Amino acid sequence: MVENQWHMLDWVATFMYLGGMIWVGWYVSRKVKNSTDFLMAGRSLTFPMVVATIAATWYGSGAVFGTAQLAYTSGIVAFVFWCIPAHLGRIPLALWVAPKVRGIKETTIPSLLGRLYAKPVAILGAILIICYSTRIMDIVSVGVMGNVVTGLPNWSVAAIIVGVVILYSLFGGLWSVVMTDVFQFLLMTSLSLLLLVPVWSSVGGFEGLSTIIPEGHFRPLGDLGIKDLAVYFILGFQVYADPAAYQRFGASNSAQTAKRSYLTCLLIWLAFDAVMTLLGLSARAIYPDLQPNVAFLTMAINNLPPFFTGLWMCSILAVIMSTMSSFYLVGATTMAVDLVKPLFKPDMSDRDQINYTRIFMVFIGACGVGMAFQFKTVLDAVVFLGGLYIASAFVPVLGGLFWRGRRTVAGGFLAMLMGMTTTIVWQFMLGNPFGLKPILVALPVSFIFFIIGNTIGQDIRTRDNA
Amino acid sequence: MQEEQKNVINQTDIILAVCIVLEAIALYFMMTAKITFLGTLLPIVVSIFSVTITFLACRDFFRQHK
Repeated sequence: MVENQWHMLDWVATFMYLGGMIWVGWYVSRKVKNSTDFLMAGRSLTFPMVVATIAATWYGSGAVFGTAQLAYTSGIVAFVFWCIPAHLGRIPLALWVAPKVRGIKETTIPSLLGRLYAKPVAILGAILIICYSTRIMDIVSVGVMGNVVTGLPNWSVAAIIVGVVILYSLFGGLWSVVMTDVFQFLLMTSLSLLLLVPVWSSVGGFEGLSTIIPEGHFRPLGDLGIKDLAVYFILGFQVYADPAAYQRFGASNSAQTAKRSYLTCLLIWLAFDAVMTLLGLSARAIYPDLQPNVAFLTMAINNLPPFFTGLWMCSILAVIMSTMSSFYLVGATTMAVDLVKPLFKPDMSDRDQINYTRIFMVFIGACGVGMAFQFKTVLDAVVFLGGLYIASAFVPVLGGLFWRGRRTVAGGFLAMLMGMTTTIVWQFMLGNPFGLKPILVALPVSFIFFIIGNTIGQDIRTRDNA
Repeated sequence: MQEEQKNVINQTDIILAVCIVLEAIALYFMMTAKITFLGTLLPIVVSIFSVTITFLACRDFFRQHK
């Protein structure tokens, strides 16, 4: 189905992009003086920096391939029921959570959980964050892309890209991650638009699409059942416990910057999601018989000239790599600061903190490559890992920040543990009975155990006031 | 422990939140009404925004690290 071959000029574009990101990561690292610079960019990120890094980080393969895949299979419901509620539902996150997180000294979710509850909850949170930081859905995406375009095995392409991400992130930590995000943000927005222009013209806009794809694709809720709709709706709220977003809030130069940057990101995300939806619909019209992710990539290769095809692929790589770099840094920081330091090396020096973080970045990347190809599609990986995370972290994090009633260590611990356990048991041992995805069961279970657990032990409000 | 800063929701925040809601409504309408112009409008708006943000972020970086 790929009519245009991957050209030498496309390889040139790809190597220019990968080399450019490594150079930016290295150049920026010369400004890093200590662990605060390395881990938190000196808490000096300005409004445009925070906008670019949050926008680029949150947009990963789930948002790109997942949105396009859902639009391909089910139509505009991808935008109407997954994207719109998710972004509107994040306005409270921007207005109340972002400035609250900026105003506290804890720089990671586990350290926040440690303050809100106690060390056992922090350790459990750290383990959860590390699993989530492997970003297996992004690795699956890279593997699929590389295989379609170059014919190389999925795992080999993924290993190369993971290696490049780790390399530029190792140099300067969060500063390297943020400034590469700035350029990746530009690439991902401008070049996806580069594809939309010729494709939209070739399919004849909505008028042309209406004659080709099923009418159900234009209904706001599509033909999805209530269970699928509920899963996609709930997944939109995983960002309320997103460790990378919390890191950016903490690294902003003020609470106001954190708040307004996130609100601005919501504006860009809505527009970009609409672009992905239109591209997914177009892929459905042009390649109705292909697997959705393959159709999306094939459409790009066949509609852009050499060099620009390579640049477009780099824009998708940019989407994925910006997210991977952020989460590798978050996961590695969590391992170093929230596990190794409190459990084994309480007197860890500034230099050691940086070195341990670097080592753990390599470890997390390697684990991700090793685990990623259990999942056949990106959407499967998104639904599982996103569901595991939100079912485990949403209730204890937000409950700890905003719950006004009785709150105990047991409440936080049980909410997290039962969310994780329910997800894993429901998916891998019971095989998703009744066709229900784990998140639909695990999230309510997590909340129930939060309530039950809060009846056990000392009220944290009393403890903190003592 | 660092003292938490008091969070004040002011007029700019409200305006941004309202813009988000209006954008969602506009995009919903254009998509459900099958307005083809959406495919032309989006590239223009997003390009201007992304180039501006990139320029400002680079400017801020070099100002901080002279």
